[in-house]
Amino acid sequence: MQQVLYFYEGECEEKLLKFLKHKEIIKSGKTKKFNLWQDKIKQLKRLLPRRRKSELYFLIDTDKLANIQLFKDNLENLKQHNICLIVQYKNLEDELSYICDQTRTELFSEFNACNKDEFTSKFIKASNLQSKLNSCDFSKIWSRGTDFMQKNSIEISKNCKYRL
Amino acid sequence: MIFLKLKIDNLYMFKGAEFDFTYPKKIRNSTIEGEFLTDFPKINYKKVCILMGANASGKTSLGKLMCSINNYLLGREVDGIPKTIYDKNKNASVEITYITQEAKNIHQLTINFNQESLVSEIYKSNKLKKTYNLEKTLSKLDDSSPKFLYNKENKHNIENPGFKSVAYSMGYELCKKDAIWNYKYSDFENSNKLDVQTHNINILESILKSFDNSISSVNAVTESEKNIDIVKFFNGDEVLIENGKILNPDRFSRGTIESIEITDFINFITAGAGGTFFLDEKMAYSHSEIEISILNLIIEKLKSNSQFFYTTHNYDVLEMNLPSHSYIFMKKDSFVEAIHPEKLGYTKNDRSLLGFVKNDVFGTLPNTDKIESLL
Repeated sequence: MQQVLYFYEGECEEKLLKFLKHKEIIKSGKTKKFNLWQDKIKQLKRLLPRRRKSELYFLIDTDKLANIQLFKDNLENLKQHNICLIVQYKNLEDELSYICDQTRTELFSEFNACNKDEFTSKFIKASNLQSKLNSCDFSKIWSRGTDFMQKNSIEISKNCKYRL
Repeated sequence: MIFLKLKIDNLYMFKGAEFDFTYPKKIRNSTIEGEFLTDFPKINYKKVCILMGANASGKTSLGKLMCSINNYLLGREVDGIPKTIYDKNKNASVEITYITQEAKNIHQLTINFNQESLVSEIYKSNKLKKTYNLEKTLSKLDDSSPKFLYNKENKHNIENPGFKSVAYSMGYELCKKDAIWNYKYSDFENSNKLDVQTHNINILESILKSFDNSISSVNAVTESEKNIDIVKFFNGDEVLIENGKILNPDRFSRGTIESIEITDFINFITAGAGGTFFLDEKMAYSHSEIEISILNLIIEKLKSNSQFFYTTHNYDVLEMNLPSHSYIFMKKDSFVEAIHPEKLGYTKNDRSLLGFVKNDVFGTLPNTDKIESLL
């Protein structure tokens, strides 16, 4: 069985990845916290599988482009691995709004949240994610793409086959 | 100090055993940074040595012997030696080649013991040269004359040296007095004691929470005169760590207790300067993922001119993205033998050694026939 690793930036994404794995929308795989914009992959490289067939998925936000050079350096360091960037259109709330066909406010109110911080906190703690995201179409998640990669001359996304 | 080579004869189960802690060629994009002396980059030494082998293959004994060597080099009595001599009727010997990076010297010390005391001591030392590579440095050392010699003919008026270095007592600085080392052995239970001197609450909290996800917080009690940390669980339970001692360790799982000692070890590495660090099967109760994650943390935190020795039985450690020279396999048939995979041609660093080990290429798998015979 090929090893699959998902790297997420924040706890909300971790929660969503676990939910999607459980729902068998995406492949099973290990999840690890890692932010390509902030952290150095060199520090984690010893833990990455050597097998080229292993699949490494990085779920990234594109609304706050922090340190583009570090981001590029990290990708350079990952060259010999089979990696795929799962690019969120802006951020998680925006993705959820899109796939659930709700405005941001409607999404927040689904979680009894008044603002982004409250939503984040309640999303992480939610024990009934299934019921709250019941009407969402997960086939649309991360499907829109952005021009972020083209704009930054990033050519990476060899094998994005994380969906089941 | 940095261990470069070690030859051991007639001690524990070592008979003519040779350990090589050097490697010939730097690896491009190595996952271990700074595997060479900072001031002498042509001197490649193994910064990380993962010792693997079956039970009773000499891993702990090696650590104990290396610790004795560290003490011996500082002029201390190593009176535990006689009981570790295998054939009591013969002399035991150790030859150690090492570097003292502060003094910028390479040394070679050959010592012979019998049951009664030190029998002979040959000490060589050369200044390191930036233009010399490792091979030339070692060859020049081999060719050099001893700086000091102790034997029957050269007693220096010392009739009974005991188990102490005569060279040291004659004024030779074998090693810097402030050399740093830390050895933690699997058979030495010290898990419920945290060294408060190097105590870092953030490391403690992150590690404890990784081991036990029912821990909600770890905080220092600031209003107490004593040094107290309080570990709180989500269900309201609390564990107090007072002056480093866990007051009610029963609340922790075995692995979590073990993690306290690991925390101590990591604190020691991060707080001090470079040194020799030996961690012997201290994560036997840990989940494999945690063990590997902590191992990665330790490697990342190692200062330059440090050396880290780690013993484990965990196969997953072989899957780590480390150079093949970082692994040393130990096997014991009649006596202990050290196997260096990189010397046998296993130098493909993009490939795991796991398959080779599982196929018993190095002959390191234990024989389980006797267990199967019970079926």
